Amino acid sequence: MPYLSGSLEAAGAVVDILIGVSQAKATLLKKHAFPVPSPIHTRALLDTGSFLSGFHPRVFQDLDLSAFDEIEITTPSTTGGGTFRVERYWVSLSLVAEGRVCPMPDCSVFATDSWRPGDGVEALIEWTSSASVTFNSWVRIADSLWPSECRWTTSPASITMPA
Amino acid sequence: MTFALDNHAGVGQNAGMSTTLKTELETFRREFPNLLAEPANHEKFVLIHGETVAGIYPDLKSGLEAGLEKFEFAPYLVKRITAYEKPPYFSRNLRCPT
Repeated sequence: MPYLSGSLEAAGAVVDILIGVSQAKATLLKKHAFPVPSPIHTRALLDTGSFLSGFHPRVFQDLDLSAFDEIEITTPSTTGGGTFRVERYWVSLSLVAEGRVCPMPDCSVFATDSWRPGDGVEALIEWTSSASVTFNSWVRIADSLWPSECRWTTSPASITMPA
Repeated sequence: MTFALDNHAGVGQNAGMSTTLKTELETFRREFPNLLAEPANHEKFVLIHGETVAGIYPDLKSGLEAGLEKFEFAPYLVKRITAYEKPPYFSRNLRCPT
């Protein structure tokens, strides 16, 4: 079971994230001798209450990514069966701590500008598995989301990789 | 059984937002009844480019990879074929474009 440890901030359980093009997109870019955009660093809030992950639109623009789908979602403000339409993107995500990078499987996220200046957060990572949570000491991350070879053990955030 | 067609026009509080997938979404809307009528397609993913259904794939990842392989940098849509898809919940409010 992978572990993530860190201190709770005013915004909540915030982690450093690198978001980049998917492995398949990187392969295509290399095939045509195009440069592969460097992953973009941002800070993301881990949220047990969300069922999908959202990132600031700037990251998709900077990565020159195109949406592959649009879906409808609900938010706290949608009522009476109302929904919002959002664009989905296929990306690579990695956790970062103490200079170490812990890659996650490529996944779909969507673009949203719902971040407030000063929050220090431009992304929200969903957390939908049944993983148990103890926020006051450490956070256990879903097996389905994080690769098992990544183990986060101390606070503030750090990574211990198996030999 | 309730069938919820992913109807691009007029659905969602921000319906009408600009999209690079307008043609593909219209194609999906047009082809959706035919796709759903084939039981073998259920819960699989359709790849659409322009007005063409380019393939059916067992999962999202393989559909996306096929899209990149076939259409490279051109827009394409990969969408689940399902009778009803509950809109997922996002815990922050979104800004409604004006």
